[in-house]
Amino acid sequence: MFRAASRLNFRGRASIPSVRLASTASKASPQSQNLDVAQQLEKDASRILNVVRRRIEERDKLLREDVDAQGSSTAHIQRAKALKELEPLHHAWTRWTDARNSFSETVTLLDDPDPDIRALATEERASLTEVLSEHVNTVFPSLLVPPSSTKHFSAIIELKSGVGGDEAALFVADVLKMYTRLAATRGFRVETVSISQLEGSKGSGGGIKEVIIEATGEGAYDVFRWESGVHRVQRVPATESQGRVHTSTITVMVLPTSDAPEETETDFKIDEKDVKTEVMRARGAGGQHVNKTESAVRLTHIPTGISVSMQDSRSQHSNRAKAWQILRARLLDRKLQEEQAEKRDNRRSIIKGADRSEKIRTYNFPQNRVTDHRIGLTITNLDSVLEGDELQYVIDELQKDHEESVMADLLNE
Amino acid sequence: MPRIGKPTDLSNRILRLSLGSEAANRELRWMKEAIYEARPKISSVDFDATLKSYVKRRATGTPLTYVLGTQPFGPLSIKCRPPTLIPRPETEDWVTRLGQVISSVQSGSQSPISVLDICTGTGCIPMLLSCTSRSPITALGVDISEAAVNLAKENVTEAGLSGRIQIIKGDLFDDTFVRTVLSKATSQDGFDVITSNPPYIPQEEYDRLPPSVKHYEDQLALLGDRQGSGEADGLSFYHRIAELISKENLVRDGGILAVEHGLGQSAAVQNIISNALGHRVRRLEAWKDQWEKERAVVAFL
Repeated sequence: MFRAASRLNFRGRASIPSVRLASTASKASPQSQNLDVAQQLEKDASRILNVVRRRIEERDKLLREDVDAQGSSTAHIQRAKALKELEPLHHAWTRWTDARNSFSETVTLLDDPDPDIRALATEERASLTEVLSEHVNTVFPSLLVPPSSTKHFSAIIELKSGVGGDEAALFVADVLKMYTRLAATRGFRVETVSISQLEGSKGSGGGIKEVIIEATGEGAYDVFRWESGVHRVQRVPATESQGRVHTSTITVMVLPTSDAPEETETDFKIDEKDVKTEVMRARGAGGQHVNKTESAVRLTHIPTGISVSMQDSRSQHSNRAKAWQILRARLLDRKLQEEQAEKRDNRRSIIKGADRSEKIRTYNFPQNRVTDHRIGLTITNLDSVLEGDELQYVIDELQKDHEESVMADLLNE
Repeated sequence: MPRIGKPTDLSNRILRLSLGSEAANRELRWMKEAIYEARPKISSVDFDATLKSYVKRRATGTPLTYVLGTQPFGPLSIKCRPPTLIPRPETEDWVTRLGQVISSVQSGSQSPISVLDICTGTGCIPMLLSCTSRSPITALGVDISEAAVNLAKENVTEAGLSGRIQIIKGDLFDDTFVRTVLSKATSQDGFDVITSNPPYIPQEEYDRLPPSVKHYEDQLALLGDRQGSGEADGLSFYHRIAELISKENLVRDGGILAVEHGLGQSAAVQNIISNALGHRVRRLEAWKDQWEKERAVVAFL
């Protein structure tokens, strides 16, 4: 466990006011005072209730839609999916409405001549108040933040050394180890897709120029997605004889991937005709005339220009398969980024992680600290982060922060 | 006394001389991976010695495939030994494609598709067909070279395909050839599919082949001119195959003949087949390889 983690929060953030019930002091009659409680609740939570109401209206609209219309099967699937996602909110809203109505009725019974009925009503009021405030403070917020649309994706993680030569390459190896450890803790299977190592130059073996790994398992993408960006390391390199601190950088890119064809097919599909396959190098007469190993493959997705080269394996077959996997991931990532960008245009909150070349985190060895710049979080136990344990904490905080932004935007709709 | 560098530095230097540093590094990595894959618990002393020996052999010109002893071929790993021809990526390409269309040959019955592969070498063609075809395959592979036959048998056994693929020794140009192969066929009408990657290099081109091919791979697998025939265009084997098919019940109606050929030979091979088989040929296709070169002629009968 970490020794100390200070949370330095430099950004103001819209927080959801916890709605408290009015205290007992009031000049109004008991009945109106009681009714006031519910009304006060509604008033303070009006923004969130408005959002819920709007969602319910959306759902009603979907239900009223003509099912037999000329809509494509994709549209039907999406409609069914949307309805399914709104089910829990619908149930919660029904419970809220019932509780609200019951509350009004119960309040009228507080003045009943029968003391037993008055007692029952008092109990009812207390429990209904609980239900109402629970809905407003917990249930609705948790249901409004949409479930992750990417939770079934595995992750393809690309690490590239940036500024700093050998030292950056060594740091790639450190970060790779960190991710591998975290993946192991979370139960994800890790496989190396391709790797480009520095070969024993100047005795500093172990550096990695570029590496792509796949972390497989449900939720893997959601765990690693916040790692995309530039990571900065400040430390005295192994090769440095005079003890000077150097700054190097590496770039991490995390892409979504899925084995399940159905997931990706309905989400999006690549037309094979759009992809050009090239094998590297002219081969002269080829065939029996030549026995050089030629396994390199490049795929280019013509509409977007995205291209993937793969020459890691001796097997052209294997390189082709891996290249397709990376191409799918890049295209899927691009689609998700576009969707995010669309949502962002409608948002007023601070844009986070929009720029892939953004410096997201600094690892300072002399000061034994890791700082994530997006949420201003500093951990003062660098080893623990590199071992993966504390990294999970950082990721959790990033996830929370993300959800809070989403919530803030919802309330500002 | 000159300082002897670490084995890896030596290796790098030697490899880089012939290949260029990126390719050299890649080959070095493949060598290391191959050593660990074959012997995961190898001691570091043995590892260094093995790697050094690989690099030495490679640096003198031995094809990497012969150094490592295997060639990836589709999803398979084909065992290779000199002088048997190393499976080519072009062959991988058309055979994979053939596997995708071969199901059209099935007469509708439950029996597997029967394949005759002439000049089978390592046995890679029938093996890859077994993998890529959706319908089950039984195959007979024939080669004139005993070394090839032994190697192909090892490959088939190691892949667990002995129940499906049989390898025999035979000479295409011998009078007994047809009788021998037909005795193994499952039907009187012959095989469903005939495949071949026969030697197709003319003498003149053979003489100019790079050392990595000429000094290591079997001339029998490469030279397409029948000795003593006066032919010098590398096409002797196609003439013979077409002749046998036209005269004997080697392949049934509704079947496929698929042959690989060399650069610029497509038209000639198509003519040989059309002339010999005439109306039997329903459709003739010329397939290109990954490098956009015409590489195989496929005749649907």
